[in-house]
Amino acid sequence: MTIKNHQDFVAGLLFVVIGVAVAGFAPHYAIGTARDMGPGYFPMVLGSLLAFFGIVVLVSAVRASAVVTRIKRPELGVIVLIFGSVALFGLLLNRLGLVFTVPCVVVLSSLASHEFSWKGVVLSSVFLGAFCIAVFHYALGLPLPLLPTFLN
Amino acid sequence: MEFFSNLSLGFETALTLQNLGFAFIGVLIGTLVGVLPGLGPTATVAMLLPVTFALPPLTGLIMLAGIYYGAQYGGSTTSILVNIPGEVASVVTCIDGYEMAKQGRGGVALATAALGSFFAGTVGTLLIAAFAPMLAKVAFSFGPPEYFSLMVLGLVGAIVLASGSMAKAFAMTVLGMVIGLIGTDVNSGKLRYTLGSEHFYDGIDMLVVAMGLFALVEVARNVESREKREVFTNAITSLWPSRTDFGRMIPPILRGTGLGSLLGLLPGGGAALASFIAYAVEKKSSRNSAEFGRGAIEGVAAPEAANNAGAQTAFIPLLTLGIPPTALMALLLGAMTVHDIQPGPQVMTSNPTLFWGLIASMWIGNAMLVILNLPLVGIWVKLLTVPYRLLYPAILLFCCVGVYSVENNTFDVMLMAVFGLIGYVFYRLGCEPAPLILGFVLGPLVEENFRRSLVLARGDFTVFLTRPLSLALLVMAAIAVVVVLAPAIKRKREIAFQEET
Repeated sequence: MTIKNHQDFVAGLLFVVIGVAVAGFAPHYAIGTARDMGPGYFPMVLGSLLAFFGIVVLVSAVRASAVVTRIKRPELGVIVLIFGSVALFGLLLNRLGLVFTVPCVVVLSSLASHEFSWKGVVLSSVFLGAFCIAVFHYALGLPLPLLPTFLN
Repeated sequence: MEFFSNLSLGFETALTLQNLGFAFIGVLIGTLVGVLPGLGPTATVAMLLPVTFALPPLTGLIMLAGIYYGAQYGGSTTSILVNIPGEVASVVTCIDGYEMAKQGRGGVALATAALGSFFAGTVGTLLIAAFAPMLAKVAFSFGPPEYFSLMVLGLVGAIVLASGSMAKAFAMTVLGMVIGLIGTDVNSGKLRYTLGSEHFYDGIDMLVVAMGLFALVEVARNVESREKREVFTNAITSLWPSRTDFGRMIPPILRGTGLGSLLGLLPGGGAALASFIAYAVEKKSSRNSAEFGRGAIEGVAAPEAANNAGAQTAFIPLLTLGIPPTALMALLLGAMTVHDIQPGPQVMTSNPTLFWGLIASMWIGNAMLVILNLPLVGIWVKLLTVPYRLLYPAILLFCCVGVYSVENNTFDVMLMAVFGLIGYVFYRLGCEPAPLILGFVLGPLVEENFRRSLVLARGDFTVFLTRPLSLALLVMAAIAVVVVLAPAIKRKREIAFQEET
């Protein structure tokens, strides 16, 4: 048995693991009977279904007729910076306010680009900062904190 | 006639200055964001949804419809001028649209897309107005078992029409339903899968999942790829198609509209399928078939019309049955719920101004697009020349602000980043995110109707098979699966979806 379709193999494995975990945890919520279902009944069904489809995907990945795929290596730097900068927005907003959060997010996310330049980043932080404050805080009136907590 | 009195009620509501104004703003920002390369309509709508939350329900929905059409149209613009399809449905538009742009006929291609879309949208709107009331009447006789079976059919339809492996799409749908379990169980009040965090007590907001899976993943993918793309911005000299152009585009638009209207009704959303088939039909039957792939105007007109007609008729299942046939419709369903409207047959009777106002505003949105986009095409084109490295931080910021403003909660922003990461992993594993979103939105409804049905039937599972309507729906779902698994169709399906990868 050789793994031919790497994408499907890993995906299938993931589905089985999640499915088993969900179904395995369902009895904690009381399963009940079909006539009187507890909160665990549906999760049990879903978890089992997910594991079942996971197995189907797994099996199809090792079949002789499976399409050969490889999983492309992601550029870890890009991924960390993109998703990290979004998380950073969440971490900083209530502490630093829009005024400082926006430039931090812009700088961090821009580092992911293959064509990074400080000039462009500084300009766009200033522009986007002003834009967010003007449009979101003032024009749309969204309750986004403007200034850091220590300045209030 | 009821049909006309309904429509005139709709236009009366939609034509107030305020509603017109917000429809205009919706179309404008929808196009503005939709035109950004690499942002498809689903991501665009997800990003802009929160903007409408502060408005009164009808105005909010009208603006939303504007955003939706704007996003669709913006997507065609990027397909034609930059060769980047924002969604599966516009993949075929790229083929001849981009060729036309290369030959300096980008303006004509854009006008063709706009006019074709407008015509298709008009027909689609009329079809909704004509058929929605009938379907809603049928829907009133639905009990929990019928709703359960209908949702099964909807989910199966989405799976069958998704590209790639069907087992994977099934698994993604179920995974979406699993994520939908998180939070408080409505029947028992028990907390499920909250990982002990109070942030999960109310479940996860749909926008957090949608923006993470669609918008963030699209940004990560685009930043990763180093591909250089050529934008044909100086190619727009004349917009207006010539007489021969008109002669050549009208029949394909008519055929595309017909195909799209029909296929758009399919659960799972046939708009993408419709654009593929419409293109194939034109290529086979056209006198100019040799020109296809080298800038044939028919190759832009037919798929664009089909796509838009399908996008329009996809509203029918959402508005009459409360079942979203596509990921995008699932987002709209979520938005309606935020505005305290539970889409379903009751909306039409309990809130006719809202229902017909929305339908009228769909047509107004379509009309505004033509008026707005053709003269403003120069501005959209300028936007395309902004380098991506300057654009994507802005996209990320808008996503953050959008998700934050739903609940004024920074936890949601961080959770969106997590879903972005999850979506990225699945992208690398070749799993489509659309079935997951549909499963996530429909999961709680499926569970509720499943449980209610079995309570009514005292635990007898045959209830889904003994009620004729429910049985018919389940049989249709089963047929869909069997047909797609049949060897001959399976091969054709693989070929049909090959072009997009």
